[in-house]
Amino acid sequence: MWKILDAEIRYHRSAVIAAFAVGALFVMFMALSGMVKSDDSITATSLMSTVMGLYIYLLIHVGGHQDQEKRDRLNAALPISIKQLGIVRWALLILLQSGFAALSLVGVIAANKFNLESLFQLISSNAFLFLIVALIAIYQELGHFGTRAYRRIFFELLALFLFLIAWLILAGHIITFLRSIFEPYMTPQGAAIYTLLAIGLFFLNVIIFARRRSYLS
Amino acid sequence: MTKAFEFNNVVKSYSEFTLGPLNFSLEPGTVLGYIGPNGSGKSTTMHCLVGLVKAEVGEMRVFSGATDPNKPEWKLDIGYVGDVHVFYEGWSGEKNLRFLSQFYPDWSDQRAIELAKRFNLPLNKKAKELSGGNRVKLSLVAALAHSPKLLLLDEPTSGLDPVVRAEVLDVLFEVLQDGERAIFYSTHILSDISRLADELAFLDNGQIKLRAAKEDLIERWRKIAFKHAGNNFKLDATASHKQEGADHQVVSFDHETTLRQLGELGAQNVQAYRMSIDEIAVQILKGAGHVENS
Repeated sequence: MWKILDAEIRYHRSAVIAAFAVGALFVMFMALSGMVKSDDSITATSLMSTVMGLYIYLLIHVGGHQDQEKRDRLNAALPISIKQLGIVRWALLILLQSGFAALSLVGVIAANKFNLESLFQLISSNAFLFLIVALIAIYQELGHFGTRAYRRIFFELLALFLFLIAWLILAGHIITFLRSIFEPYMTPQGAAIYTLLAIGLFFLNVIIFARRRSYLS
Repeated sequence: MTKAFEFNNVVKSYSEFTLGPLNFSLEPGTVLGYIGPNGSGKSTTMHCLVGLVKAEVGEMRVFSGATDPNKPEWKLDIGYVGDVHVFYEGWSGEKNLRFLSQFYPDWSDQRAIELAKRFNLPLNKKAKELSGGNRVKLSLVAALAHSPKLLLLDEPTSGLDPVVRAEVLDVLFEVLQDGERAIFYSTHILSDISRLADELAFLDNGQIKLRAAKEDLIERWRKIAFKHAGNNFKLDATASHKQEGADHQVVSFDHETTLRQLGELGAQNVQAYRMSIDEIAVQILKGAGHVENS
């Protein structure tokens, strides 16, 4: 299955190198310019938004090509197990995200702000980002089940979640709710929970991929 | 004897279409033409067999191995040219072939290059720059380079202009001369397959209506014209019957039976004409329900 990962990396090499080069330059610029010492919050926000932006750009780039060129269709006809294929589809994204996480870590170290809290925050935020990407991917996968029932369940759960948020806003509990989600960000427990959730969604996605009824698109 | 592939009660359902239940198999070394109109289920059959679509019911086997999506060794025996030709579009044909070669232990670069030369295929061009005909050729090279024991060709000449189609068929015909491969060739262009096929299976609305050896069909089917004053008679083994006054024209799927019956009826000026595979196919698919499995 690494043959497919290798092919994907080579295929998207230019975009990956460009995104990482921009990210690395940004980290270097911040470290050298002294911005890191003048205002930590601006630094952290700039770094995170740059890294997030680059990651999202790569996601769109890679995902767009995979959809447009019907990569699932190409790979599913090859002598490779569908479960392995389900895993390797994520390998590139995990690799990219790990690269950007490493870049963020370098940024934090360059800012002389490295401590355990920032490490846990990095782990939690990366796991959270992965959760969102995985949820979008699961929604897409459910479209290949040949029935709308699963997507309807997904929509119902989403509607329930939005209803809950609306209720929290109206009842004035939204700040407490958001705090309860994001407060554990900097704790080891929070990092562990978010990571476990991300791993859980990763395996759920692989299972859903393996149970798809069609790999035509 | 080990079959190249077997379908046992395979059913694939969509909201407005159901394929199957399919029960058929293919012997190694046989070329089976899979004939049917657009939307009859030809591509779906191929998709099921190659693992791109999962059937809800039934079992498929390729060279005795179950088509388990998580034990994909059975795919090593298959060369597949689909209805859509998918590649890494930004890579050259050569790079795409190199990528595919990693998955097949029996892949031969030399064979791939030879085939590309015979097809006059520019391997240095990016896939996205290749014409429709060249994309088909690249798919064919990819499917043949690992010398598969079973070749699945899903309307490989569809959308090609007549010149390129003839060119592709010529090369395909040469390549298949060794007679060792089992080939499952779906098409709605009869002239393509009539040269290659040993047997023909006719698919209509998800069901195989008739499967027969090509030579048997050509031997048994006749268009028969005759004169007979009466019109109150029914002929056996006929797919259609037209009448204008005393002039009758029938299409018979067992001309010996029909001719014997006409003799008994005292029909005059009886003339039987051979039919092309195209004409036979049209009759089978038009009146599929009336044609007995020969």
